Amino acid sequence: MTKPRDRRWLSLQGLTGGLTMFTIEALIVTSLALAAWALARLILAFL
Amino acid sequence: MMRALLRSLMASGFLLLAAPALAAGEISVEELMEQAADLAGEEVTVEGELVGDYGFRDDGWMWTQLNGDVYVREPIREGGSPHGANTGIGIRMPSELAEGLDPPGRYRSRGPVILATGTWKYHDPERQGESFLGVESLVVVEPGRQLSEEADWRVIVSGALLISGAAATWFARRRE
Amino acid sequence: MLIRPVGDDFRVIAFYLGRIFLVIAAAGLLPLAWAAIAREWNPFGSFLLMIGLFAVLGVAGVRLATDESKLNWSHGMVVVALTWLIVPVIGAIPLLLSGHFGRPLDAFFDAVSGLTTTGLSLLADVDHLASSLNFWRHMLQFLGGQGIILAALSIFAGTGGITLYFGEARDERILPSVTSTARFIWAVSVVHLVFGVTALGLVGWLVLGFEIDRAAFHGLMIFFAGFDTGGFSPQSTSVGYYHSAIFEGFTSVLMVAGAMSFGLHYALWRGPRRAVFANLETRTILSTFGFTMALTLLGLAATDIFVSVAGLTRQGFFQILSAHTGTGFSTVPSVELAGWGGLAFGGMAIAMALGGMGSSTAGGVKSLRIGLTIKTVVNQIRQVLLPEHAVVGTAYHQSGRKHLTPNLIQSVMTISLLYVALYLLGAGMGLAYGIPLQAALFESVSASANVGLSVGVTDPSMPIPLELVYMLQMWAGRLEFVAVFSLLGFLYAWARGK
Repeated sequence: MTKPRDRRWLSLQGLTGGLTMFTIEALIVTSLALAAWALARLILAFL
Repeated sequence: MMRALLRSLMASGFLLLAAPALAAGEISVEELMEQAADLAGEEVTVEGELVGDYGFRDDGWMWTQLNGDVYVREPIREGGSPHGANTGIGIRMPSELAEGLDPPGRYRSRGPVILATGTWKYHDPERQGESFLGVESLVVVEPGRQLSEEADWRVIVSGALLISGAAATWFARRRE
Repeated sequence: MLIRPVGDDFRVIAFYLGRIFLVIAAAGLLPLAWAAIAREWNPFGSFLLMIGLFAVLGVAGVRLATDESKLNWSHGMVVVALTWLIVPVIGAIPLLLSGHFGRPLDAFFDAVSGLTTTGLSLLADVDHLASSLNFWRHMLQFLGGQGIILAALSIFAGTGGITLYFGEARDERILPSVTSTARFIWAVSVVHLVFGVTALGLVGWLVLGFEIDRAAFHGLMIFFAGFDTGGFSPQSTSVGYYHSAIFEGFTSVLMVAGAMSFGLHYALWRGPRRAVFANLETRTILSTFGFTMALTLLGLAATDIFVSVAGLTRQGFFQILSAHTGTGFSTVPSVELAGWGGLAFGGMAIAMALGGMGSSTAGGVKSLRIGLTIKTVVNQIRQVLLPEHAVVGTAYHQSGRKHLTPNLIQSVMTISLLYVALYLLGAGMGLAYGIPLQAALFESVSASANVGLSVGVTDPSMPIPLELVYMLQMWAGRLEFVAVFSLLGFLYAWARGK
């Protein structure tokens, strides 16, 4: 049961899933950076 | 009176020529890092070894690292003692200035030692807060050179013997 | 009554240690090959010696046992604790023979720091270090982040697997068997290696103007140190070396990936993706990140170091992300970091102390424990405020709906308190040596939470007892205490048992 599953991770389907995962992580970082930028703008506007 | 005036003018002229040298005070990389905030925007001259990579970018600048530590003159490869971490700053120079420089310092190379003059950019807003020396002119004090490496044959032989011993024991055990 | 360990116990432990040493010996072939290709003969010899020692110990250990299936919980924990002590001792040999360390203990310190993915370093002159040795330092962080046990599990199936897996501070069983979970974790790592190294390498080559082989080298090293939230770097100026927002961006993706639990990776890879944001852990870490980032940005803005929005954002964001994920990359030198006082120091220190997600490569108390602690405290307050007969809900989301049981609360609180105690131990030790409180606390948290950011306390001139305490903190922090206590208990039983 486990062997066919293991091989699947590095198949094309698996790699597409992996690319999606990497892209989502990049989106998370971008969102966090945007939040940081908004915070920085707010802080510097008040100081 | 004319002669006195002429002499004064000549003296002033020499002083003016000397002014850049007086303004561009030479300091060590370590001193620059310690006084980083105070020297923001000042013209400084620093001596050090170029290490790592020469990053020639499309915008006409070359980026690299300048180290001013004990390893510049006493490389570990030549018997120098380990004295802690490197002391280095990022530097940027026009690509033309970097032409002809010896390769940067790495494992078996001591990079060129240069005297770099430029503006110290401390958390430069135009580079989103990066700190670096914007080099405008440089003089090569010492060219780069190769460092030798001597392999320790005792270590190699010991390692090979241990591996052979382990392999022999493994295969002998398998035959049992 | 304390039962003294007998010969069989030692044989089982030796057997499993032997297997693990053989895996490490095989892993050592990679830097050996690298040294041969790069014609770095000094490191080549030292890698040969290291592999030889691991191989001899491995074969000796494997020869000793007769029946491998007798590994119990206690044995497993002892194996884990000993692995994480012995591997750095032998793994330090190439570092020591490089000439870049003043004393053997410093080389051992760096090996422990590498394996525990801390990133504090006593290495002298990294800018002239052999590339194969640099590769080995970074590979240690990869091995440690993935878990050496995990590496061994992927190769050897066996009934001992589960005990060793939990001993290495992994709580999640993502797939039915431990072996398949281990293989999934490796698959996630391979995906990030391929995409991460490609992205960083392309940036290095096309944007930064590095030679293509050097771009690949930098990409690979930063991947190892970033994804495994280790924080070593190939040059002395850390990620500041690259002077590139794009490079920092891709590095940030790797750091975030490294601090995410592998369970979360599974959800992102296979779905359901929405479950990711319902998780208590995700919500907790986003909240603590937001909070510590606000503190840090406020603190930095108040010092007038960064006057532009872009500057404050880019430098502040990277530093706090590095601290919270436990990576330890820096874009500013230690001497400057030491000057970040007030709120900036507070934000960074809290971020480091809290740490990343559980079952990730990050360190610290970890967001699941923080979330559960907050939930417990809130529940306690509600219990007090609500009428006596009111029932306070104990459910939370973590890969499904779960309940806050007394046992769970007890274990969460115990480990959290132990981390706090560890932070204070190191800080106290630093204070005893005359180090100012802020620096002593910062460095202690950095070591215990396996972060690696330094304000300069970690230095070859540091007192040996302080160095030993930091190493203890790195080791205990990485293993989350359980395996460490098991080893101590085992030794005590051996000395005093009947």
